Amino acid sequence: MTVTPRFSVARFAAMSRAEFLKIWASRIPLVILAALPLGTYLFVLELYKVEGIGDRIHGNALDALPILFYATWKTLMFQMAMLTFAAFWGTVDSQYGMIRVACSQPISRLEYVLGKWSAIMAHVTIFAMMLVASELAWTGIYSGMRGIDAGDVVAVARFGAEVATFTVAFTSIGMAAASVRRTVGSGIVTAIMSFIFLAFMTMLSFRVIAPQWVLMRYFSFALGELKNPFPTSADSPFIRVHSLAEFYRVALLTPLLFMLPALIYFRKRDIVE
Amino acid sequence: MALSGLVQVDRISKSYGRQLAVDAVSFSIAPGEIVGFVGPNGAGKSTTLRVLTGLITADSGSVSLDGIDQRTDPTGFRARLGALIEAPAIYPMLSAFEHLAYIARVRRSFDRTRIENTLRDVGLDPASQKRVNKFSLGMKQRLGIAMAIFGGPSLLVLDEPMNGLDPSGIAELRDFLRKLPERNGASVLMSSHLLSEIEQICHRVLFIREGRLVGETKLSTDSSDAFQTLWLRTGDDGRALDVLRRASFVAEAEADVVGVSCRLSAADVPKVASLLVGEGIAILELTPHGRRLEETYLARYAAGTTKLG
Repeated sequence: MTVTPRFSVARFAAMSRAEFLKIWASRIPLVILAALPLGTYLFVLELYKVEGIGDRIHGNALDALPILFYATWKTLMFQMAMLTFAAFWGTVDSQYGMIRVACSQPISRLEYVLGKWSAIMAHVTIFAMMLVASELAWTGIYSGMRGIDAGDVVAVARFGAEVATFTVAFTSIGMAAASVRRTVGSGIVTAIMSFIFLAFMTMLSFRVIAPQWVLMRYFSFALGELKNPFPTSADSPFIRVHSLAEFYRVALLTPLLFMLPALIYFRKRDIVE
Repeated sequence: MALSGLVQVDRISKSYGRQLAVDAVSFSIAPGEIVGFVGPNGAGKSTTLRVLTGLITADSGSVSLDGIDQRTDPTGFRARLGALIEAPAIYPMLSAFEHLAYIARVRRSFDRTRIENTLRDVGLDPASQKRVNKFSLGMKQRLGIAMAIFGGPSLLVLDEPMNGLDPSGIAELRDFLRKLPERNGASVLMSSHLLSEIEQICHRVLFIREGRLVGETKLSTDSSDAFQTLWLRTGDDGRALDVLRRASFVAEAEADVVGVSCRLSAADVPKVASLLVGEGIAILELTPHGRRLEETYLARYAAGTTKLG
């Protein structure tokens, strides 16, 4: 008798698609997609109406985008929303018992976890792109698009890719940490704790861990693709001290460090919830 | 122990820490057979069913379905399995259709018509956009059953499937389960505390206590009155069994969970008492099938009887 392979790309793809469409069907992604332009508009109001940056920046959208993005990014609201989203969908099956249904389907636990992870991260990527697109649209409306050339478009595309990569990296870590919990509430708390742990790593001595290996040191790395709005070459979020290769390396390896143990644990654990 | 059948469970054991939840449980289920799984709370029913569905791993023993070993081919094993374990699992923010669409996509068998038909089969409206968090417990239970049967399983594992259903829902599920073997040849293993339902649905009942299988009994599946199953408790069950097996008018006689059961023509029922009395065997209890399971078995479990068969 032929033994079914432990891992199949077709089954993994089916699982990813099923999870993606399930999450989408919940309408939660639509709420987040609608909230992102509205939420960023609050920062637009603050910068343009209260602070009056339109009077001080005599340029186009790409001159204002770094300031708007940094203003929203440093509040951590987007990051916390993404962690909550990932932790929610990472633990919802345990919370409502659907893990019993999903894990008795003809898929391996590896396909289940990876399919789930890829579906959640596909949503996170869409949200990150929506954040960048919203901010670009608002700065375009308020500062204009004149003077933007092909080089600027490439820079924005690279900026968007790096924002999405960093977002996926830390939400993957949060989700991996949350996946060892069995309720949505405890999963969200654990995911946020993992974020705090990652932030704490920036306080460690360089002798303990080399700075290029600390994910949170790349917190504002993507801004390096945009124009530095400040007339200084001193240390600022807009100055890069690590290379693009180092960024992608740490953004790939750090989540793996968290995800592998979570995956090994899940493959063997008894599903008793 | 030599086992044969669609499902073969061979000496599975499972401990949680120091507590032995299931101890060397073995049984088999034939194709198209509906088997009840009965025991008090904490007896090991759910653990056994979870091992069977692969949700937890047994410490020892093996399970196979259609000749497929659960350990060597878990995915192939689960492709033939449908399960509803404990309370119905749901995503509160999705509709019933979206739940089945999810299962269908995971199984790579998305077919709108099939999903709608499955929902109709369990009495749910396939066109309803109502989110499941607005469902009654009975509707959630129906949805859980729909998800379990969607893949056309060879074995359907149901843990307390009647929970939350109203009387008409129970009757509908009873009819549905009875017809399931005829419709697609599926076997069913179901646990329930509703012994009257087990009695009406199942062909056979397994009894578990403190993690051990302590007996089993066949139930009459004849809908006609031509044959009757009797349960007997006598002063000497071993001798009574020998006597009944030798009697020409008794079609079947076997050791049962509470003593002896025998199957015979309804017209011959009065002969049983005189036969046994004539052999000097005291009859302590003689009960026709249909009034026995719930009253006697539960009473014996409650009384703490350990040697049941």
